[in-house]
Amino acid sequence: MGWSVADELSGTPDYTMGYSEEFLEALLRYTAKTHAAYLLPHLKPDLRILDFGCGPGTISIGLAEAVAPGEFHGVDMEASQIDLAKLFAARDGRDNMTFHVADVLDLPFEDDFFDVAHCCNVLTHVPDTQAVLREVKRVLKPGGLVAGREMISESCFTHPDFGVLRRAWDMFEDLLAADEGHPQMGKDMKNHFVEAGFANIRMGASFDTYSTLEDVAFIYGFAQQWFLSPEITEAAIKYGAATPETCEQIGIAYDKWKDHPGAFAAVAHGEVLACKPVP
Amino acid sequence: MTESASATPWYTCGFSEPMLRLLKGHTVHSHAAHLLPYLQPGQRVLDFGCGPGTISVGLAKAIEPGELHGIDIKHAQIDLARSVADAGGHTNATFRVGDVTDLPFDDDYFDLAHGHSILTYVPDTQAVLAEVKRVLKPGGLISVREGIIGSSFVAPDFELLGDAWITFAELITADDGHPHIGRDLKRHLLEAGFTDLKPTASFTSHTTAEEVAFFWAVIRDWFLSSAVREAATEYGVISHRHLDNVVHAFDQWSRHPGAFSAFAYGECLAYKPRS
Repeated sequence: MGWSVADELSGTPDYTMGYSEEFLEALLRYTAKTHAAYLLPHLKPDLRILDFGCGPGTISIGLAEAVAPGEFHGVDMEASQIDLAKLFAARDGRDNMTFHVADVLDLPFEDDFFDVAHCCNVLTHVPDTQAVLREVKRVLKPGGLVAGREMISESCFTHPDFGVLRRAWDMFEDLLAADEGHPQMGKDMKNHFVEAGFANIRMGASFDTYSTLEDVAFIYGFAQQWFLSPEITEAAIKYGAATPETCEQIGIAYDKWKDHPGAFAAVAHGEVLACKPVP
Repeated sequence: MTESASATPWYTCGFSEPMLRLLKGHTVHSHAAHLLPYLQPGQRVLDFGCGPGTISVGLAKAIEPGELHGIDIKHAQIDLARSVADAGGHTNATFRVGDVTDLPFDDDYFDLAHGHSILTYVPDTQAVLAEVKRVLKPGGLISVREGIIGSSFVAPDFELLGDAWITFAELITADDGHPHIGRDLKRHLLEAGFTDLKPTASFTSHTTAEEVAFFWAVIRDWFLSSAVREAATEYGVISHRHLDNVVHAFDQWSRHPGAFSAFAYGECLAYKPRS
């Protein structure tokens, strides 16, 4: 695959976001309640669940809680994320959680092993969508449930826009696409799950919104430390996703946005529930 | 569009049979869920720009024995709203023809005011908000929910269906409307002097076979209606040939097993200051 923002940041293939402390802080805000609400009503004790591309495991904890005493397995290709996930699980006193460093294209489980499989913002980053879904389908039991929630970058906004904040999203999309990711994955999930041979496909879409002073400070901090970090802007400029002038304008606009009483941001996601067919 | 589609100032969508079918599917549960926790028996509620009253009657039911007043500029919509209320036995719902920038109510009259997809179509946003604020009691709650066409989508897109949304947005803009105002509700309500703003955003989606068929029928009949075709030509928004291609792509979409569409909305709750 050509160049990668991730390579420049941390040497991890395919993951545009990198693993900076700032990005970790963003992931820590992700919980099962906020990011897997559409799945929670379908979970019950004793189910065996897989969280593929679990990252630092902040959603995982809520999933494990919902299926306890059933087994939870989290998989991520990045060892540092698995270390964090183990730490959080231990801190929470959860004893039904196991984490594995592994590739979502080559899962370390037998066929027909799980009742449920879940991911959040994973298909967005992995180049071959069908390869992931095939592998997840393999490890699901017949009749097992898969749940995925992925971003729709085109539908996201940061307002007031000052005529330029949308360009930060465009820059993000260009960087993601350069890493062979799929910035609009959330839109097309139903189609991908149909193609992968899943049945009983239910799809919805939702926004995570940011409006309180704390929310706005969080988005501003994230923009400063990720969108506008020297590593990202240099990569964006180097690969033609932005000019130095654009980056500067975006920076100025974010400063204004943070102090604007009408500041509001929304991140859009598509979410799918589907079943592995029973033969 | 104003003249040809509807003879109603401001309302780009018109009141054709398919658009009416779409509106009739709007209920308090599907389109005002964000407001449900705030409704209490005995409140006096205004539904400004109530259209055929399908959301209004849900509001009326939730506030019984309080009064629900629905206002719309279009006689035909008020007639429909009255029949919807009669059919449901909502004796606490009153509907009248009126202009949302000149409401037929005293100052400080309502506990709560609700508007759905109305600021999108009225040119002067602040004029509406100032008038709604006038008729709200101090401490009264306003709730608005408006579309964000720029965040709405149809998938798979066939590299064409996005054009339908662009056309729709351009027609609204040509009528001095605001096709993406759902993004900016917090800012507008703030500017109008409301306080304690709580903005959110959500999608209304179509994914089951029945929903997809319904959405396709509405789109087809609307985009192929003579009113929209005339307006598109008049404003130079889209050629008939391209419009036909878009409709053809929608036909393909409606038969595609991966068909999904989502219309994005912004919502905002806010209060009229107490003093």
